[in-house]
Amino acid sequence: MEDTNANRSAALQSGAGKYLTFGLGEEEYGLEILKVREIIGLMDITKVPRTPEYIRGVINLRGKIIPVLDLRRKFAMPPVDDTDESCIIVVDVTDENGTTLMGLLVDTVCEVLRIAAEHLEPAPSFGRGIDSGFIQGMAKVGERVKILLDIEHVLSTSDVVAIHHLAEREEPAA
Amino acid sequence: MSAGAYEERLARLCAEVVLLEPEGALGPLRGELDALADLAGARGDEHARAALADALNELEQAGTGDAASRARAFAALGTTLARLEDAALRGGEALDACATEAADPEVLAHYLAHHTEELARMEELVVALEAEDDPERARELGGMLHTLKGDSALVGFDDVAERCHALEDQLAQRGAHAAADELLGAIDAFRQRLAAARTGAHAGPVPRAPVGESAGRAGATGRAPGTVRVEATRLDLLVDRVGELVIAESMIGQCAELRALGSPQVSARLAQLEKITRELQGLAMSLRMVPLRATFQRMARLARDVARHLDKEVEFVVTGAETELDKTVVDAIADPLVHLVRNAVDHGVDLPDERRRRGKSAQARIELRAFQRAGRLCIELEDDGAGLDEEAILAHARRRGLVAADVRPESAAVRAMIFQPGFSTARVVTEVSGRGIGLDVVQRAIQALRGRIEVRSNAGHGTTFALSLPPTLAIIDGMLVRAGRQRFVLPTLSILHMLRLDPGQMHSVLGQRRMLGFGDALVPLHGLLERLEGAPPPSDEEARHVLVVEHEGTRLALRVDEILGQQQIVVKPMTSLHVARAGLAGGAVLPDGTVGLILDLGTLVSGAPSHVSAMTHEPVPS
Repeated sequence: MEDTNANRSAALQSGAGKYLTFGLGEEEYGLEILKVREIIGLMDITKVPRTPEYIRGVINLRGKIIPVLDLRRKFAMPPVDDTDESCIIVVDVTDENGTTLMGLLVDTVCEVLRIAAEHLEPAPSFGRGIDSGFIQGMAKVGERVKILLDIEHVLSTSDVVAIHHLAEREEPAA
Repeated sequence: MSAGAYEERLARLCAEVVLLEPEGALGPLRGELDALADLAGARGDEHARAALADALNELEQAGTGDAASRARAFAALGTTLARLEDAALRGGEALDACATEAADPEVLAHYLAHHTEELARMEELVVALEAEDDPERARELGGMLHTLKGDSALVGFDDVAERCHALEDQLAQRGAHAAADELLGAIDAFRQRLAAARTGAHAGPVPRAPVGESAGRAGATGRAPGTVRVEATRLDLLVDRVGELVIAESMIGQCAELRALGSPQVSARLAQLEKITRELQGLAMSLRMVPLRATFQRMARLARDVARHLDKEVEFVVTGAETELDKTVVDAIADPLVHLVRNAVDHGVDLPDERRRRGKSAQARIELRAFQRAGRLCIELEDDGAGLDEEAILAHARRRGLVAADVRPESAAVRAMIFQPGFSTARVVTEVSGRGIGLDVVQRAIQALRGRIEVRSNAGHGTTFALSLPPTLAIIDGMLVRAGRQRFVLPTLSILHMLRLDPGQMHSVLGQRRMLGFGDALVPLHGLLERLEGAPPPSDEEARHVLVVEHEGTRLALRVDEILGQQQIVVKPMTSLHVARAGLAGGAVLPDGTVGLILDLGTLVSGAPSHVSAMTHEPVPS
């Protein structure tokens, strides 16, 4: 167990750097800034039949058609109406077929943060076999905890259902 | 050799003639000049022969005249010989240079480009001649060999020239049929030789002519004069940008504010803009189109080689080779086709004895054909072999647990099993009378092109693999429709008829209104969203617009809420969402900048997307 933690923190050392943070409900998440292409306002999203619910649909990004993932739905959070603050974060996603663009629909975009290695912690265990691999780590910034996402892992994981309880459990501890 | 003798004697005479006394006897000189003229004639140097004959003539006349005229004649002879020697030396130099490397780069480039193409034609001729003797073709082949010989000698490819010479002899003595192996072997060798020379030419110090220089200079990059080589990525970019232009143009064309102006001038200019855009678009698309000929020719050669290897007699017939499609698609289907052709010869058709026993001709027939149907490109490979052994396939599937012992799937489902990965081992191949080498790979490759592959089989009479590829054009004519809040695009080519729904036309089957009376026939009637995503069927009052569509002979009537009109649609890939499974062929950017979904009629008509289970990854053998 200690070994695992040691490995993890070693990995996290390299995880220090700049992150774009965004809000989903009460929680704040972070994405490695190098993965982020741009942030665009909400636009008309075309629903694609027979795709999972968390795929909000597709948009035209200057001639390229890219899918938009509803992160709330992906994390099984209760749906809310889109607001003026709702944004699409366009990220590079690398899989075995190469790099593609994908939009992430989030409640609000916060800021770009430099996160130092000493503020990083490994992802907590959720127990009962829940895969937490899509969490790159947790960052404590002031009083807040930001959940740093491994976006490729988020997309390949179906097991992210329980994550929305995460911050509630973590915050008192922090 | 004769060239060497001529030059030697010419050089000697040149040296001697200055020593000769004009008063001396003409006898030996006359003999020498005669011999030299003969040699020049023998090496085809008509100019030198004539000049020598003239010089001799003058000398003879001067011999009867005074000393001055003899001296003049001698001087003239001296200059003639000097000029001839100079020419011979330069000619020799040029020949030597060719033999090493410094042949005129343009000549060499033209030679390489021209004969690389010619080799393909020669190969085609040999394969055809081997199957059936044809004096016309034999003559063409002979002519091509001869030209290749001459041109090869010209650029110093003496090895090629010599081999051509030997092949010409073979062809004349034994005929193309008997000499086919030598001919094809030589063609392969030539091809490699030329390819090597070509890359060498590129790697060499000769700078590539920039695009935009004269066609003649472009020839130096290895293409025939009149063509320009362009990187495929730049071409893609052009097609992409033109696609954007088409979208931007239609946005302007449909701009309500501009229309509200009601200005005839603006309308006229817009019409002109539209016309130019269409032309440009057609042009851009055509740049990428290439005929299938070269690929099909490769297949004919492959079939021939495999058949030869297996001692089978196969007549390989190609039709529709002039069909054009996108270069990337042509490249992408080559490997799957190689698989299929090899399979057809290897496993599809039997050995001659076996065929005779079955009452067939000893020579098997395999046909590769391409044609357009309903906007899709179809490629079919048909053999007249034994057909698929469905029992063996089923037995194997049962052993592998793909099919339960008590289940008897339909023939089509059994045949489709050969595309399962498990059917790709050599052991299985023999068990199921030979089909299945890498057919799963073939299927994946075709699906990656948004295409489909099917197999038809007639036990004892043959097997047909039918590939169907979507419209390869990135811009199609589409009909924009609305269903619910979503807008969809149907390829206009697939629409037979559009009508407003009259409840009287709807016919109830099994208590449900499901059929549309269309002409004399009944066509299944569905709401588009019902068909696409399992939405509840529309009520009689909803979705009153109907599109009757046809795909590969199957008709379907689709109800939509609104028909928004026809327009040029730029097809954009949407691969990351597994659109094929969702019944979509891609996305399109609509004039208002949003995305419309292009329907894939194949899956819509066959009904494949109507089960949500299709979304899962597991193979579901029912």
